[in-house]
Amino acid sequence: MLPEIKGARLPNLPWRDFAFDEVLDYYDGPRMLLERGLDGELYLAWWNDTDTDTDTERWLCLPVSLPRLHAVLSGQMPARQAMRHPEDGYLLAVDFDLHTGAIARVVKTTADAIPQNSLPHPDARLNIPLPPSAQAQWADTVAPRKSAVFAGVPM
Amino acid sequence: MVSDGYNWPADFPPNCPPGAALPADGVFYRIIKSDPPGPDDFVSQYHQNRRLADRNIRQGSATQCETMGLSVFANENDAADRARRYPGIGSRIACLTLGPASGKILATPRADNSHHTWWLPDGYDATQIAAAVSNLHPN
Repeated sequence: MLPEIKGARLPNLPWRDFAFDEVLDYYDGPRMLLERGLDGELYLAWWNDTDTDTDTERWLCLPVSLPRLHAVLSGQMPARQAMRHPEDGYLLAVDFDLHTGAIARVVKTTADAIPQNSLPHPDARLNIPLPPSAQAQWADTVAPRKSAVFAGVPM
Repeated sequence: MVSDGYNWPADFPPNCPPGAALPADGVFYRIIKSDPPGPDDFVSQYHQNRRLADRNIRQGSATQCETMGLSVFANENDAADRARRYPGIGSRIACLTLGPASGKILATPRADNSHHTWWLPDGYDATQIAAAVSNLHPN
């Protein structure tokens, strides 16, 4: 059984559906996804654990701005650091019921409530290009503000 | 199912492994949980959790054939990077010396990494070719 995550339980995802069409990293299945909210907001979804006894799969979804997404994917910002200091102050723990394929639970929480040994290691940095869907947006509108990415974030 | 001189598991779909896959040859790295490596370290997603594989197939993030193969890397650092990113997969890296009897393999890079998909023949004991294991988190 996956450990219970403390936090505020939400009735649904803050976006329409959990999609698997933007796979950023793959190892025996998708491990990292880019999700998009109803108004285009971005969530970096991170595989966390799968319980084969209860057929439950857990993903951690980190709301990110485009500059933060670029910083994490490029490795400028360690992945664990991004989870511990989310821009909006929270992340979502999303549990899937693999029997039904439906989302069983969404909890608004923080990295402190997640088993620490299941988070990315402190020295884990990504080296993943921005997905094509985000590249043009990054080049056109956000790159000049890149220097502000780490403002206020202890490294 | 016999194809190309290999006896593939009976549930492999037609054209699996794909025609572009080649007889395995070389050194590859895989994340595992056990030391020494056990049979559970070499079970495909499809055969470990059918519901999970079906979900991924239905969502379009993998084909059935892909879920029946194993992820390996040609570069050890690529494997170690995944183990650090996703501790739930495992903390050990097995070095695998593959030969034609090991099955077929296809370069399936994601974001320019050295990811390969490896299909094992029916009954193949992969634990016998796991030559070394490094533990990223000995404590």
